[in-house]
Amino acid sequence: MISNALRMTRQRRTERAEALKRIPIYTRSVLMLLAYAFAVIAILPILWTLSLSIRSNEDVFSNRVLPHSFLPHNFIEAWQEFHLGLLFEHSAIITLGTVAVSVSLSVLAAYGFSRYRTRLTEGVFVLILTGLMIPPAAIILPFFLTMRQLHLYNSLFAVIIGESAFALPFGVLVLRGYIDNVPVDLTDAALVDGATDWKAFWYVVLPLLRPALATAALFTTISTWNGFIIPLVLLANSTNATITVGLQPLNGQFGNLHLELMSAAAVLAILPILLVFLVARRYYVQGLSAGAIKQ
Amino acid sequence: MAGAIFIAPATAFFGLFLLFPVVAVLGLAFAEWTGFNVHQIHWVGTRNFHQLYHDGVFRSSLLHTLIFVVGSTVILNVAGLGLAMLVNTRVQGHRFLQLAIVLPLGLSPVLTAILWQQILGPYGFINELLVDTLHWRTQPIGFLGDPNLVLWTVIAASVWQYAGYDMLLYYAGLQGLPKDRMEAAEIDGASALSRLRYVVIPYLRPVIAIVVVLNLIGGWKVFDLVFVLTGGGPNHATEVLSTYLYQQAFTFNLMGYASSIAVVIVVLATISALFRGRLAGDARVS
Amino acid sequence: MTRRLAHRRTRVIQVLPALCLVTAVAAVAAFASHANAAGTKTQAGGNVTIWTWQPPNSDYVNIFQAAGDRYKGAGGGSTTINSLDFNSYFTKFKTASAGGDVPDLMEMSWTGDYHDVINAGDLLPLDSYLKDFPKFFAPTLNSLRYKGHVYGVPLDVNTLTIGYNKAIFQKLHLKVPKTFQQLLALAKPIRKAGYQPLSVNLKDGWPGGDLWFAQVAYTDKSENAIRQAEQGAVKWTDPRFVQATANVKKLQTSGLLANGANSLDFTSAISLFARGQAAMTYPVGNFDTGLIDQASHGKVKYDLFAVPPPNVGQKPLATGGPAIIWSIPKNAKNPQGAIAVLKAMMSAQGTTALVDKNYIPAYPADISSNKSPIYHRMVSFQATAQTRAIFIPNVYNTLLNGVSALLNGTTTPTRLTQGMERAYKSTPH
Repeated sequence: MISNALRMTRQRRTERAEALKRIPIYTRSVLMLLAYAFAVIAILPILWTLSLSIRSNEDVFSNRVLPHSFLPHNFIEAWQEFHLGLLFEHSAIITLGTVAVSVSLSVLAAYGFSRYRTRLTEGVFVLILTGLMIPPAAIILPFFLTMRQLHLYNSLFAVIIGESAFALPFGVLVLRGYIDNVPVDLTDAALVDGATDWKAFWYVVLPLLRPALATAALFTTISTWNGFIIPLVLLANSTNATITVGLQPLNGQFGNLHLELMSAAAVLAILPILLVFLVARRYYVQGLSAGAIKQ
Repeated sequence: MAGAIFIAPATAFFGLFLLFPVVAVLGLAFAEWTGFNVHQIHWVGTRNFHQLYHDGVFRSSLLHTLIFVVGSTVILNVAGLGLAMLVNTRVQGHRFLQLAIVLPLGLSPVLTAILWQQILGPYGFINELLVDTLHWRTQPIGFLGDPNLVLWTVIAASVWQYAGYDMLLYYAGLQGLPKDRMEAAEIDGASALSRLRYVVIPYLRPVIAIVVVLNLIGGWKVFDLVFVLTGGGPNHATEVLSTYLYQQAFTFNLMGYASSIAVVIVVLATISALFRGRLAGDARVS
Repeated sequence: MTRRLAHRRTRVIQVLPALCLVTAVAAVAAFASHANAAGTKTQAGGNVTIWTWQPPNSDYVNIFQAAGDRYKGAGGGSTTINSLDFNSYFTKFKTASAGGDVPDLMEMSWTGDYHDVINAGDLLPLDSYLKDFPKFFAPTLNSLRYKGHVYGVPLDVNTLTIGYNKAIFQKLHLKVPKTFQQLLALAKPIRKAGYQPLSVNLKDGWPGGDLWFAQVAYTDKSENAIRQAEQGAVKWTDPRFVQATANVKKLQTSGLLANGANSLDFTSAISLFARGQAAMTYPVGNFDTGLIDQASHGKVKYDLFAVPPPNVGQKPLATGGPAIIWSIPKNAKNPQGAIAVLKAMMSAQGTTALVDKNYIPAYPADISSNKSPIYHRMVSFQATAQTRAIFIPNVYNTLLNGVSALLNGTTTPTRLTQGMERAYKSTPH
């Protein structure tokens, strides 16, 4: 199957190259300029923050557009002062945990919703989709009270549960669409061969879902990594904060006069998602393009 | 029933952790409660909703949210599709572009707020450039302080952050575009613009429908970015439904009133979701 | 078909252990942190749990911890300090009280939350313990009195004044203004010389309120109008409040406020002053004097003066109030321990610790003369500091938003106070 996929991408790549050649050179240059221009605009705030992050404290408040100092040591200092190692660790655990929990629950449910359509299951599906509409700020107090009753307070596990609950609907939506496109004949054939429903799911459908799972994982990662209000309320932030919450005091009304360290922390905080995207890019395109979002 | 086994875990999870608090909020919308003492929940019927109707700040936050929803959805989709097509042409620089657009997605709201304050503050990058370096202005532009400007600043920041999201979805959609149809159009002499109008967009309709709905729902719910960038200010100029809800719930301790605002958000988001079918079109272009 | 199935099965089997490992690691790590969570577990015996929103390792928290150590040395149990983020502080308290898991001593906010928590019956009245504490400044303690009882005690106070750059004033031959008019008149010469006059972090909202309170300090000679208005005895549209609002507007029309002041946040406002770009900054209190020194790297020499009175010869008044307020939840497991820790905070050693870090105790204390002149200046304003609080959140917020609108030119002093009166009427009390 992988060799097939490779063959397909190689084929597509040559098709693309040919398609590119069909665009006249003049247009191609304009497009290239546009591409670079938009990219620079998009990246400008990050570049600016990068510029701030290597300056000395005097330079950072000096209103100068270009940096007049070079202190890469700021990154090490920021790492230590804001305990970035600990914050990253917590964010990573929460994100990994949420992805594991929500994607596994989503794929199971998506299979059920896709293969066993009754009025009841359709109703439950719509019910779960309404989870997308809920503003987290609204339910945070009852949610918090529930967690407390279950003794799930001030633990990363509680945040995983919370974030998973919110990540479920999107995962179910994407995965059901994808499973809809897996031909029923495949599973039927397996069932005819004597497999149980579970075996049909586990051995026939699941392996085909890898790109879709990667997609769901990617989007869940993005939303969980940036999750703000759930870790804010569920964690007693002094020891257990995540990246989002741990840096919040920096923005508060008592500010932080070490703007260069804050900027360094911001730059460091971008790196993980950059990494994730680079890794997930291949899978994700395959996943969505094969029809996950066609309904 | 076999189906039930597959659906059960997720449903149970959802029911316990999401549905139950939502039902509680629905109930609280008809009550008054500071949240401090469970025995002090007072039932007041529809009084909260009556109050909402007469609440000027609620009305303006509704308006701001509407502007935000429409403005950000339109710009996000145009930008997302445009950027996706640009990346799709595979010109030089497309990989850099793709990465640059997606990067802001990985920024938490606090960091985005810090970044934007550094750029847009009265003594930030842009104003320093305009006032001190180029001398084009004497007074800084109040991107974050001028009530006429600030909502659009927030929309711009939101678009900056989420354009990558739409772009990713459209890019994936474009991969499935049957190239024979495109080639046929080219051979027929269609211009790029009419190729767009008659081939690409009709093909992408289901994708557009989903992306637009996701943007709409996200817009009604928007909280993180507005909260840290402006806190709903200055003077409620960027007050959106969620920030107003937050203020009522956590600054004023009016859980009941806040819950009624939550109900409004959910209703509006649900209505938006119902548009998906219409947007996707009933019959697909064959 | 079966061969393909077997092929897939091996693939899945290969992936499976990896998946399981990842999930297992995540689950174990999560459970481990759950077990190690430093939460608000109940403590037995003489242990005391304290909640605060002061950041960990800050001067304040170190002072609290030192008091806890003194308590322990005197035979008490150990003290645990939980530093919680302010935004979720009261949400956590709400759920803690629902779960019966409240701290013994908690930092209290002197705004609407204070009244709401009292009305929910969650706080212990502290009247009977007052005799055990030093004699707090009357106006400060008064502001913590609600429905006839005191539910919080102040540890320290702060006063808000204007900081001015001595070098700039000297260079431009400017004198410390003795009247409000003189203050407004400073705008022209300062701007002419290329500096910004008054840097205020109006974006944060509350400084706008403080500009107003600074005016009410003079327009309200009874020094009690705000408290009366909270009880409904005086209207919020009272001419004294309207006059104060009009005065705030004059700050802007005279050009005294720095460019872009409406969008200035705390960091930018301080750095404007610390870089020597602004001649003055407001508000300055002991919560930011250290930061100014830090930001200017000691290069800016500054002094303080209160927002001046309307007439010559009138006594200048600063605004101020309690900084750290301590309350004891009604269901605290160890209220006696909490009181003991509080006493340790206000003992001779505790007082010295406060003064050392430039905090001003909320009771008369012996201040050694080798404290900085800035510190003495702030202390001198303390005894007569006027209120800077409105305890009804709706009205307070209307004020903050109103000042913002006032300075943006979208409202007038009359309409602002009318808004406050409407907000008062619409609040259940």
